[in-house]
Amino acid sequence: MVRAGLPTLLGGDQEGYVTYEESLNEYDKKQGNTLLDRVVGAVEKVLPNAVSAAKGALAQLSYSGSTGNFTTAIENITLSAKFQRIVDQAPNKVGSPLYKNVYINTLSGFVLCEKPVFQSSIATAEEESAIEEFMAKGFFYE
Amino acid sequence: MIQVTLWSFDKKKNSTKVPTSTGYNIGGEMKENFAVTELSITFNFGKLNYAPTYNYMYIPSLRRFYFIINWIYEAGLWTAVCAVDVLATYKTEIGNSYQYVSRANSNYDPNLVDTTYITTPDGILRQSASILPANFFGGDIASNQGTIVCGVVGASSGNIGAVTYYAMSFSTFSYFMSNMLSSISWANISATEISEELQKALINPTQYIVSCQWFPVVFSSLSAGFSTTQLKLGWWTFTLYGTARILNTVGAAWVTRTQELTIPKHPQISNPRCSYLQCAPYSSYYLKFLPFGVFEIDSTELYDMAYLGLDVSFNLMTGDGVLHVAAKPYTGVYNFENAFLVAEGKVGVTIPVGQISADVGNFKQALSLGVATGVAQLIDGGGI
Repeated sequence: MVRAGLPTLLGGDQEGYVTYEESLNEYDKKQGNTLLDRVVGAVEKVLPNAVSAAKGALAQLSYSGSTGNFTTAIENITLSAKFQRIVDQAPNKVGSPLYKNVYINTLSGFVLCEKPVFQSSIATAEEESAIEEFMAKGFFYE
Repeated sequence: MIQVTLWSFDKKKNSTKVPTSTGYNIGGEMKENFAVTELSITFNFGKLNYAPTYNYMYIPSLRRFYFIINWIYEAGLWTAVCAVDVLATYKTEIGNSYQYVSRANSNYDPNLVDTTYITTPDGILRQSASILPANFFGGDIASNQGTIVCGVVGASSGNIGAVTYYAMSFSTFSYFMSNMLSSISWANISATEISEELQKALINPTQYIVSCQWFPVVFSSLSAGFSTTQLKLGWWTFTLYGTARILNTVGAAWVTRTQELTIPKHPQISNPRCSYLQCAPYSSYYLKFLPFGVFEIDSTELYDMAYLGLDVSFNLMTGDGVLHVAAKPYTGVYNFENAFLVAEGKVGVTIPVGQISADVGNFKQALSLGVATGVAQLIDGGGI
């Protein structure tokens, strides 16, 4: 029974493999052992390894930390939030973030531009620079 | 002589504002040499006006507005020292210019973080929203609610392998255990054949119970599987005090519970400019959901969201559970496929029942794998 079952389990009948029967027959010839001797010996060698592997699996279960406990039933499910307030705001004096390309006449009140460029056919270069500086530092369009 | 218009005008130096009133028209004398941006004009007001009441000027011939930055009195005449107001003068051209505006008062994006305003260390506020576990799962440990699921080796049409999983109420389980361990009469072995004491020594009924777990759900809420009033234990059959449900398929053993929490919001987001306060570092969130753990939630996931959906699916056979967390701006059905947080945990609580010391199923699997590995090692090594 043992000799018939193991080769199939281990793929011994596949091409290129020495079947279990062939292996045992060869071993029989060299050692002169009985079938019972060989099977008992094999099981004696296999079992400690198998039990060790199984114990290893149990040890992993013990230390996985996923064991349920009754805190599930007593601890509230809680979403906690922590908020930090900010200081008083003055959007009329410093505006609020916009970061868009817009025509200035679509806005009112405080305006701050990034790298402004102002050109006019009637303004002097000095006046243009002065206007760009106002735009870069913030001005009131009103 | 040059004609000008004077005003007493209140405006910021960095404003495009121009006077809307008529102003006071008067002629003045300019020095021959002047710059268009900075100039002086001398006026003879006589006794009609007190010169320093005017602080703003328009010179039509120069097409420019001027701030009067000083008045100088000399020999009965007032001289105004003026500086051009470029913002008022070129208001129209400025308005028609197309600029990249980083900040504005009238138009803004409330989602952009405004670092202009610092946080106040004394302004920390904590809020929370909670669900009682009994309300989430449906079972209350304090009142012995909950469901016991036992994996029992015995003949049954609902077997998963050799094991049948019975779900039952706490009271049904207590009655079953008491009945099983208080008398051996259920074994139906005549005392004349084997004494009752010897039967108790020979038969250990708990060896057939391979798993036993408590779950925080009310038994009556379970509908999967099929109902039974008998429990097959080894060779024997027990009549239960109440009904149990046999979890005949793996699918029948899955239970799902879903609830939602109202997300606390930063107290200052009522300001329409301050939506960004929903994000870190202004808002931070932690979710405590045992047994899955305590999680820091990315506040951007809760941005403009009003409700936090919690979905827990757990298996009554193994006790394993998985938590899905998603958020929505309004209450309703959640798509937990898009959950931003997924965590595993053990929902089932192992109840000691005599023989149970570990997951026997896993042990058997490991043992069989170990045997196979050992045999393979022997074959490979030529041990047999």
